Amino acid sequence: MVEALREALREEMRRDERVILLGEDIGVEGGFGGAFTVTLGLSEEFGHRRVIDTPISEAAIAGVATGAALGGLRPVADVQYGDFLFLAMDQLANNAAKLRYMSGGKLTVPMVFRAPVGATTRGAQHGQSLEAFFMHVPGLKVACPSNPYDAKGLLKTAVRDDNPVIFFEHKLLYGSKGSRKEKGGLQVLGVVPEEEYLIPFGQAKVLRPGRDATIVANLLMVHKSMQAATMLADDGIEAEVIDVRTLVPLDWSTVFESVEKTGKLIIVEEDNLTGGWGAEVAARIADSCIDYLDAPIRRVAAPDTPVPFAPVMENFYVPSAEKIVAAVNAVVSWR
Amino acid sequence: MPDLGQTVAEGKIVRWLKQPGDRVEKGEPLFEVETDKVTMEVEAFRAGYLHEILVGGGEIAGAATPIAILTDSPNESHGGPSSHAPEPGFKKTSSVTASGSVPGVQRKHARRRTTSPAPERVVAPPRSTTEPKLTTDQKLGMYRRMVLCRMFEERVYYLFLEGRLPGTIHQSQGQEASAVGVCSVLEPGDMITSTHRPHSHAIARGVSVTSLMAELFAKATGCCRGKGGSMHVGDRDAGMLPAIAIVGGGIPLAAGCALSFQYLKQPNIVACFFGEGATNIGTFHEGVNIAAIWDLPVVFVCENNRYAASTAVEKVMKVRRVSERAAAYGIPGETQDGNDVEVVYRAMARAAARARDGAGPTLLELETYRLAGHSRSDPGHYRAAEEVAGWKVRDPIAAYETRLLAEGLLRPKAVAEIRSAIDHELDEAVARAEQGPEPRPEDCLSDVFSE
Repeated sequence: MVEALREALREEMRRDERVILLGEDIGVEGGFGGAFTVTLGLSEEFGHRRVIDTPISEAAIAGVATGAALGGLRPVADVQYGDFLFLAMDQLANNAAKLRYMSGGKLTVPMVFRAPVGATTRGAQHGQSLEAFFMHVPGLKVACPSNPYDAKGLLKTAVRDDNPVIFFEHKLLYGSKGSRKEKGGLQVLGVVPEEEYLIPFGQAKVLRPGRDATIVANLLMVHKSMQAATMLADDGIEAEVIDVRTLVPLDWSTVFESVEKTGKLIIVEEDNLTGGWGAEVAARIADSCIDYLDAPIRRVAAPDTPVPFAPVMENFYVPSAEKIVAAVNAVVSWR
Repeated sequence: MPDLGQTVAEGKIVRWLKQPGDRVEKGEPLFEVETDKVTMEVEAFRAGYLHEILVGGGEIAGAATPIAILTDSPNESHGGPSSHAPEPGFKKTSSVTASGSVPGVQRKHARRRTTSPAPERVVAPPRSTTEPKLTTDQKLGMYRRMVLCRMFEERVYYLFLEGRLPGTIHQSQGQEASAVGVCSVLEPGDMITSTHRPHSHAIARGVSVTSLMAELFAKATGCCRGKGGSMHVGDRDAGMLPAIAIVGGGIPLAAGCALSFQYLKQPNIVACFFGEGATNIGTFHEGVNIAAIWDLPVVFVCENNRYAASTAVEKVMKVRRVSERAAAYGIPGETQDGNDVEVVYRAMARAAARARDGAGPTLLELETYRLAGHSRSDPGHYRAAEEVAGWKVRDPIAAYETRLLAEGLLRPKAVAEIRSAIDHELDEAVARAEQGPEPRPEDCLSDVFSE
């Protein structure tokens, strides 16, 4: 996925001179191209005028990106770990998200803020999943690709969007090769066309059709859900797996249609259970599809604890295929 | 009864300081009022005769309800309280009364810290021989603009007391010279960022007074179409981003806007306004540092009015001057008299030239004083009376007026003419704001995203 993201940035920078990159360690000669090598080689092609290394100043990175967007650029900024977004929260939530509104619709803030998320044995401050925080702020779009093809298409769309986009990338999906590969990283293979393509926001993807239950997931949990669906199929249970791809906007009609067909819903996310994005999905389904539901909605999420360090605890913390299978079985055998 | 604060619905008249038939001068204490927050004297904002008291001592009256009738002559007849309501506008004073709301230690502290109103200059660089000379027109223009800022704020003050404007306001009376001196240097295409106290910045930058007033009236015709309010006024076309009301929040934004100017090779600069209180927040450090390392075309304008809300600067800053902090970022810092508009203009002209030449940012500290409270419900008990009095003597507008009159650049007759013309302009702005359409309730739902 690293290559797909890099290709998206490279194509957009070649296409539009106004696209610049801002972040820590992203363009240093002899460095590593950002925390996860996504920007490796881009400063050689585009120079330090466009691939701008910043101090460790997350609030300034977000504020500068917002100000530069107001001034006519299309910045793509990043933090090394999503956890650091809290340092930039005021600039993102109070400035980037609200300036269009506060100006009565006169301003636009075309910027992208990339952030790696997910538990990877780094403990409580380098492994959180933060989508729900940003989904809650009106004025921000939220993308969360699960595979290289989507990553490229969605990132290119994000760069061209006139709104601030928080772009979440899961550390275990960056790839299983390369200098910064993650232990336990998935080798997510997929054909990524070299030519131009865009994936619109707000279009979920049905990755596996099924009649018995609907599983809605994002990022790494899409893969865990697909694994669970395979295990369930051995027992004759056909689960439909939906990758939301973007949380803001969220493709409600695809989720509604699926739940109307299966009558059962399981939501899988790596975020803490309470107030996660799955809670919003559950509420909307309860609002709109209650007559179609044959069983309670189940959420498979991390418990309400910080991310633990010890691998044995982390494995317990992160939703597993087995937990998803158990949830689906409980719902399918309801009553 | 004046509107006494956003969360104050009523007040008890403690006692009347004038009796029916008494002559009342503008600014003279008229009665004492007690609320759940504060006890204070209220001044008459117009002269006249106290014809009748409608709400006596010890009685309670709701905000914006008639409590007395003032007439122009001692024996003027009137048709009774229902047909002849008094002008419901009064001026709060900062007199200290026995409200008990101010901790003694703080007041003691404030007194001990009473500062000399005459700031000494530090780090003032030698005057360049190419320093711009102000023409008479420029000087008169700055004078008129400062008077417009002041009269706008005074008008807004009374509109609030009359309960005609929703929300709250943070007023800038006393800080006009820094706003006007800085903005008078700017060119079309330059940008300013502002704070929760933005009215004078907006007027100085040239945002239309009509659209500002309409925004304060929460009308669809306002500069932010009713979605911003007092704390977010702005108009990019006029060169002002919507004001950022999180202290220090506009500093990285200004750096980012300056980065776009630098990147797009535009000859423009950003003037970033903030108060001394903002220099203790992380975004100040991050934003100024990043602007410094990239030589961004921005001037950081710190309006040091000595108090962050009620907290005196000495309590929260170990260095003596905000400008000393510039050294930490390797950029020039200077402290200037922010109440002298020509001093401000010259200092800003130097800093702006530096920024435009690609030499990077300057931290310009302008010492000034807000003559009003922090916000509308602030009587300012934390400031010693002698300190306030000392700064009132240095009122930037009165001082400049005196100088221009002495230099023969301003005729006494012109002073009245300017004020009368501005009064008329403000009448127009208020009338148009009042006549302007309200936003539709459902307009709340639009402008979240660009489609």
